[in-house]
Amino acid sequence: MDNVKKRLIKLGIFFVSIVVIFVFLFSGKLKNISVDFIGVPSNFIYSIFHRLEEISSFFKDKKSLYQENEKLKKELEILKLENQKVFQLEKENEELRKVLQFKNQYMSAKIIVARVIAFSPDNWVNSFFIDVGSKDGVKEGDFVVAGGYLIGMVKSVGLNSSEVLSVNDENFKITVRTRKTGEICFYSGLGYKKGVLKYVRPEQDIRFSDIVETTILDMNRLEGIPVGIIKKISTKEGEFFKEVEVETFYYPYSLDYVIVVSR
Amino acid sequence: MIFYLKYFVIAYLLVVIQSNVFFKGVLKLFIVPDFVLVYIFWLTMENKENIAKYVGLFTGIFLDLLNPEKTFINTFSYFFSTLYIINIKNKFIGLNFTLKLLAIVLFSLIVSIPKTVYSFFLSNVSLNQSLSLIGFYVLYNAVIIYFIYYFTVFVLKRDEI
Repeated sequence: MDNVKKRLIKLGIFFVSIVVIFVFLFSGKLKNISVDFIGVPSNFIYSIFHRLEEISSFFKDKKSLYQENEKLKKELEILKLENQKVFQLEKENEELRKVLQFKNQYMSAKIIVARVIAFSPDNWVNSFFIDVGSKDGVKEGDFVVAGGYLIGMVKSVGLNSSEVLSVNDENFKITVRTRKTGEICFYSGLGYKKGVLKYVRPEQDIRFSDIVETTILDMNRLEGIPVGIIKKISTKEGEFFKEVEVETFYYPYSLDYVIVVSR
Repeated sequence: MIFYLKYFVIAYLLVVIQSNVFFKGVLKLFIVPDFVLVYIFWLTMENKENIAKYVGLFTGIFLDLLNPEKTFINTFSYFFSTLYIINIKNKFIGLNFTLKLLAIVLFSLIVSIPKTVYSFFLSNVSLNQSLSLIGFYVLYNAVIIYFIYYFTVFVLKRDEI
């Protein structure tokens, strides 16, 4: 009898712990707090890397200048350092110009400039973290843009950082429209630099190389932001809907500054 | 309490390192090595099975919380595979290098296959690209275990059984 009691207690504890774990996993608040757990240390590590990069580039320049003529040494060092500074400024200027161009294009929208500080630790998820959160006015569902193209949507918002689901992720789903013909479709991520238009009826006018862009139908978000270019249209035998493949502009290896378009 | 806390802090730091921009921004890696998985495996091999179980559970919950979607798959796969690897370990008196490699391959497969199948059921995306992801993921973990083995045997001069 005692054994049965013990087993029942163990079974009870097991079920209670499973319920507690599920409550943990499916509570939105904890999710938002956990974003800050990654965001804050990542921001710190990022700034250290940035500083180290600056120091290492300084020493590299110094080393190469020692090999030069002694008379030109000082002058060269200053020039090279200045040159590098100009190069850095030029790059930053170019990035900021793109941001400004986007800002002018979409004057009515509230725009927040953010920096990418980390990527998803899980290889099966295509997401990244940015250094702005609810304190800066970021909301769940805001679009994230880089170089003028849509690259993701804010999914979880912490106090100082947020998590963005990229357009390539299989769980990224929005309503889009084609720029030339204005056909409304359903977009879903597919993998590396790829997306797909789902449920495209045969009578819909979908053209090769047409741009797919956001539409106002999608929960009153900003319309006209390009998502990708149509790269392949095919029809499978026996299937009603067309198969439309879209090439996206999300490239995780060169992400630095992004724009959050707030609703 | 503080003694046990350090294992969780290490697991947390490994997740932070895993998500760092260094891997994608500087090294341009498509797949990030799973340090946490190797850490849990190492804990099991160092006869810290109980801690490995709790670290596996903690990491799974943390990774699920960091997932943009509400999911339970990491908690399930990490905890289940930790239990499985402890079971395998108990079947042998000691694991040599080859067995260790086989064990980490199995461990990685047990973690990655449920995740792939789960994402397939969620999104119906073809499994072709996932296969290469699983392959390289397993390879990465095996390489890290090789380095740990090399480090303990040749650098720290610790003998294996």
